Order: sequence, then structure tokens, then C-alpha cells
Amino acid sequence: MRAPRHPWFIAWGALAFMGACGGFNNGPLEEGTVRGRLLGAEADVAHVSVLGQPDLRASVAADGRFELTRVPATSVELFLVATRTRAARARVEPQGARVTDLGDIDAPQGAFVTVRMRDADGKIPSRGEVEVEGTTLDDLKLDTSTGEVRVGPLPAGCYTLEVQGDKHGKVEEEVCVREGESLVRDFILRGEDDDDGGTDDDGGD
Amino acid sequence: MHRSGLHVVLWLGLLLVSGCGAVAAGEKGKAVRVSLDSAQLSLAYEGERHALLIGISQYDDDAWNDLRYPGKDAEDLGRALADPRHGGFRSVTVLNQPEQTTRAAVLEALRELAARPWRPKDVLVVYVSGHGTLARDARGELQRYLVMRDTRFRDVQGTGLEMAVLERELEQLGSRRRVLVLATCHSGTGKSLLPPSVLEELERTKGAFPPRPLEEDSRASLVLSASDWGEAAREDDALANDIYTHFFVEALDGRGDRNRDGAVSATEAHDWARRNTWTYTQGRQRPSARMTEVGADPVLLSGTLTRPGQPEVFSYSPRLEGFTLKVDGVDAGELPGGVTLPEGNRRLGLHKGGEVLWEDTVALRPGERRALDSLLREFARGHRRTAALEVGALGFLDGRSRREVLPPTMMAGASLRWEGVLLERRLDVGVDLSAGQGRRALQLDVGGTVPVRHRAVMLGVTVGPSWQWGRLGVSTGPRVAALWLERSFQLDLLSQDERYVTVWPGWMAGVSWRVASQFVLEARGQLLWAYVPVDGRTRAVGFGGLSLGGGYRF
Repeated sequence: MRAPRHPWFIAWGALAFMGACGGFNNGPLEEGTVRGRLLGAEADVAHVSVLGQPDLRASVAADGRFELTRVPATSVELFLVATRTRAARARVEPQGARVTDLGDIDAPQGAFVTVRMRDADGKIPSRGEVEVEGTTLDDLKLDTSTGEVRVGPLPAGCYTLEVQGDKHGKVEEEVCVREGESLVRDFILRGEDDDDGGTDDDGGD
Repeated sequence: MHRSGLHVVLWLGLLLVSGCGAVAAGEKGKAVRVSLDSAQLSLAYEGERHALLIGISQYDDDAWNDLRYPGKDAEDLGRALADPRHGGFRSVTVLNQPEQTTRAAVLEALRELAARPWRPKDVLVVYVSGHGTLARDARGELQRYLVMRDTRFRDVQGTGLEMAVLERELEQLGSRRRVLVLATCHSGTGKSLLPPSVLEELERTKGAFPPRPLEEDSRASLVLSASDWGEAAREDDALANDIYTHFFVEALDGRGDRNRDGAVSATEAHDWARRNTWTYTQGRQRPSARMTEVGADPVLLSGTLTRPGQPEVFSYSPRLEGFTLKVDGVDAGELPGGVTLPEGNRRLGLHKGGEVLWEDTVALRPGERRALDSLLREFARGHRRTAALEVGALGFLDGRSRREVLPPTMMAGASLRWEGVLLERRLDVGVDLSAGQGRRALQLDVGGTVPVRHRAVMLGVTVGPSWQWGRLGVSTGPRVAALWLERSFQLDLLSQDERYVTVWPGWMAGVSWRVASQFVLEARGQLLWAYVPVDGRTRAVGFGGLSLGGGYRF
């Protein structure tokens, strides 16, 4: 076997052993930014989040503008709270590494759910809290004087309420609300060993 | 920065192409194609025809025996050339009288020829029938001399007409169609007599005859000799002529019109005379011919072109002496010489003693003349090269990588292939360089449609065998390719270029179709085993490409 005659044979060999360098990263392409403006927003309470991923949230400026970053570039639903009484949900499909502008959003009247908590003896628990799963409405504390928590504003749609009292197990309940609706939900909290929580629906007006 | 890199690659490709063009322009000795209609052919050969015919029968020095027929040879040939029905020469000068055949008279006649205004298309025939001899020139080198009437045997150098002088005179003429016909020889037999010193030298020479003198590479366009080097040229009483001359004249009456185009060219006349001389002398005298300016012939000596002739293939190379040219497996003629062939794609083969020297399929058209030497030269050279320009597409084989990593890229490039450079000509080596870019969109499950500008540059080397079946060629072999891939995002939130440089192994296969002797169409496919880091993980996937191109073989 003769030795390679041409220098480029050697160069090829060297290049082959050098291996590769560089590569591709699709990570930055999997997130986008969503922005818009909530009309009539109350800046102290207004905020925007991704439904199901409450950590992805942004505050709203005084003029109602918001910009929510690092939103997964796939079909998501935003949970928008404009004022103490108005809220909306918006489905959006952000594009990777780009900004999706929702424009002006006029949030309608939100719904409110009044959660009443009682223990197995019919007494008001000493402590309790309510969370709307997947939203920024969490750690809503029980008013021990009334035994109620007012949850809202909730945009029309269905939610899972998680209710938990001190020394009581967690109780979950699916609730669907309409625009501007007010509901009352009774939760009877049982001991942690007894997860058979129960509710009574008193209806609403 | 990468933009300039792409420019460098494109410039390299351009240089490669221009380099091919330079080679093509400077190359000599390729096949000569003459394929025109009869009117164009007649125009191409338009020009005056002139002849100077020298026949020396009597010699002053008794050492040279008088010859019977040189004077008649010149007259007979002159008659045929001057005949309006045949040669139609504008002037025919016959020098066959004693006072016309001295060295001074012949040189004067040559000078008069030189004084004429010559055009490249004019035809000049110089014919010499007489004694030939060999002698040392002033530098001590063996030279051929023509014996004039007053040439002295003891002073050939001083009184003979050196072939070099004759050819120098011819060279000064403006015509490119100069034919020197020598009905003489220098062998010391037949119409030749050698000085004692030369004879002694020949006796000491191991070979049958000394090497051909350098000056035999004549400056005339075409040299037709009545006998081969070292053989005797003979007169014959039955023919009342020099044997070769007799058949040469015979050819001019139309019998030599081998390709049936209405005219008899110099090589047609020579071939007629050669074959008949060889038969008549039972193989003892083999006339030879040499063409020093390829394309100079056909020099028309008789008749006019009335139609494109049958295709011809010819060779007057001494090294092909004794070879048989076969056409589609059937004997077509002996070499050296020319043969006519039916038009169309013909399988040509050179055979000798049951062995095949060369075979190839050649497309022949009416009126075309192909020099076998050029076909053989391509064959003998072995290391044929093909430079090609190609366009095609390159990309991942799997849809997921095409959607998520890099879309297919349209490529343009050049390749250079050396045939038979490795393993005793069994393997070819090919180098290719291509580059391309595109603007497509990635289709990400999370991310959606993401526009991307992508570029690729590939430099590959392939080693492998190739096979030819007529015009069809097939090649294959392992391959290594260096790739530079880039994708560039210009988005609201991301302005970024990503690059990947790597070397991948693979396999190449290609087919080619020869559309002309030097031009081929090629289609190539390649598969590469690719490993690509995406999102920090390496994917092992297939990478492939298809290309179409046109190539130039040189």
C-alpha cells in the first residue's frame, strides 16, 4: 500500500478525526411572547397568566398594556383579570421566538363563586383556603367570621376549586360559571384521614 | 464572515469551470469532425490547385543507374492532375528533362513556387520520382537526400537535395494543404543507392534499419511515401511506371473515391495506391503516409464534392501497422489507412492476432472523418478526467429532521473526476464542491412554523469503480464529505446564526450518458450517515442528495 500522494488526503483524514463542531438548538424557538391591552384595567389588580401555568404571569401597566413572555409556542389559553369585577379568557397560539399581539381586550363581567366551609360538626373551621386550579387565584383565605371565601372574578368557563381547611383534607370540585354569574358552593371538610369531602349546592342568583 | 466564505466557494467553482475551458481551448489532436452539406464542403475546399512534379530518370554520375520511368511517372501524374474531368489543377509543372532536374533547377522551381501568392486553402502537390539516398550532413547527422541529375555519389551532401531543404521551402508557402509525394526510397535497394560509409554503418546496426532521421517529421501537411522506411520503392516494366505512382494515378480517375463523395482526396488516393502496391508486390512494398497537421486532409486531388461522403475512420500511425479495424464485429479494413463506415452508432474495435487493443462505440455522421489516433489517445491516456457542473438538492432523509432541523437545500456546484487513478486503473477518484441556500420554514411541534434561511457547503471525495457500456456509464463507491451547515433566524425575539461543521461518511452512485465524445450528462445520488447535535442531544440520521449535471471529458 502506497502512502497517500496528495496532501489533501492527509487533510481529509485529519478533518475526519477532528470531529464536528457546532450544532442546532430549537429551545429558543419553542417560546414566544404575547402582548395586548386590557381596556379599563385596574393596574393594582389586573394581571395576565397562562391558564394551567400560573407561574407564567405578567402584570398590567396603567394603560392596560401587558406583555407575557416565555409563553410556550403552542395553543394556550390566557387568564386575564382586568378589574376587581371583570375578567376574560383568550385562546392564543404564540409563534416561536416571535411576538403575538392580541390587540385590545374588553374583558366582560366576571363570575364569582362564594365558597362556604364547614367541618363535619357544622362549625366554621379555624383556618381554610381556596385555590382555583391553574390560575393565579390561590391561597384565598377563609373569612372565619362568615365561614366564606369569595372567589373571582372568574371568566366564563369551567374550573376546579380546591378547598382545604386546617387539619382537614383537600376537597376538589369542578365548577362552571357564566359571564357575570354568582354561585355559592358549600364544602364540608373532614379530617385528613377521611377524604370523603362533600358539598351542597345551594344554587345562586 | 460566512457570506464571504460562500463567495470563496463560488469563486473556486468558477475557477474550476474556467480551468476546464482553458484546457479545452489549448488541446490538440482531438477528433476532426467534418460534417457539412455538399455546398458547404465545396466552399471549404475552395482554392487553387498547383503541382510541381519531378521525375529524374538520368544521372550524370555513373554510380546512379538510370531509371526507366520517373519521367513518365511525372508526366502520367501531371496528365491526371491537369485533366479538367479529374484533377482540374490550375497549374501543373513537370520537371523531367535533364536540364530541368539538376539541383539548381529544382531549387529554382521551388523558389518560383514560393514566389506565388498562396492562400491557406490552396493545394500544392510536390511529387518526386527518382533515387533517394542517405548521407551525413555538415553536423554529422544522418539525413535523407533526393538524388538530382547532377548529384555526385561521392558528394551527396554537397550535390543532393536534402529533404530538410525541400521541406523548408514547402514550409514557407502560405498553403496549409501541402502534399509531398515521394516515389523514392532511402533503403539502398530498389530506387536507392547508399554511399559505402553509410552501407558500412547499416551493417553495424543491429536493427533492420537505422532510426528514422529527425527531419522525417515533415513540415508538409501530408507526406505520402511509396515505401515504408527501410523498404525499396520499385519500378515495374509491366506497369511501365513506378508501382506506387501507377496506382496513385489510377486512383485519381475516381476509383480512389472511397467514401463516394465525388472527389478523391490525397489520403484516398494514397490508400488506393498503398493497398494495390502491397498486393502487387506481395507485401514487399508498403507505402506509408504521415499527417503532420491534423485536419489538413482531405486535400482534394481529383473531382469535386457533390455530396457528403460516407463517414471515414483513418489512421496512418506506423504503430497501428497490421491492426484490423472491426466495425460492429466485422472486419472493415487493415491499418494504417482509412475505411468508410455506415453512418450511425458503430462499435469500433482494433484487433491484432486475436487480441483487442481497443473498443468503443462511436457516433458517425455523413461526411465525418474521425482520426483513430485521437480516439486511441484518449484511451491510452487512461487518466481521463471529467469536469462537471451540477445542480441538485441536499437534505436529511427523515421527515422529522427536515421539519425540525434543516429543510432540504438546493445546491449548485462542480465536480472533477479522475478515472482509473488508483489500484491499477480500477478505481476512480472524484472531488466535488457544492453550495446552496434556501429560505424555508421549520415546522416545530412546539414553535409552529418558523422561517429560516439555510445554507450548506459540501466538499466531498469519492473513490470507486466505474463501468462503461457504450454511452452509458455507471459509477459507485464510498465517499467522505465535509459539510458546513448553517441556519439563520431573523425573528422578533431571535436574531441568531447556528452552524455545524462535520465530516460524514457515505456512499455515492451515479449514472452518466455520453451525448458527444467529450460531453456527458450525469445524475448522482449520495447517502451519508449523519450525526447531528440538536438541543444538546445527538441524532443519528441519514443525509442524502441528488444532483444532475453536465460534464466535459478531457
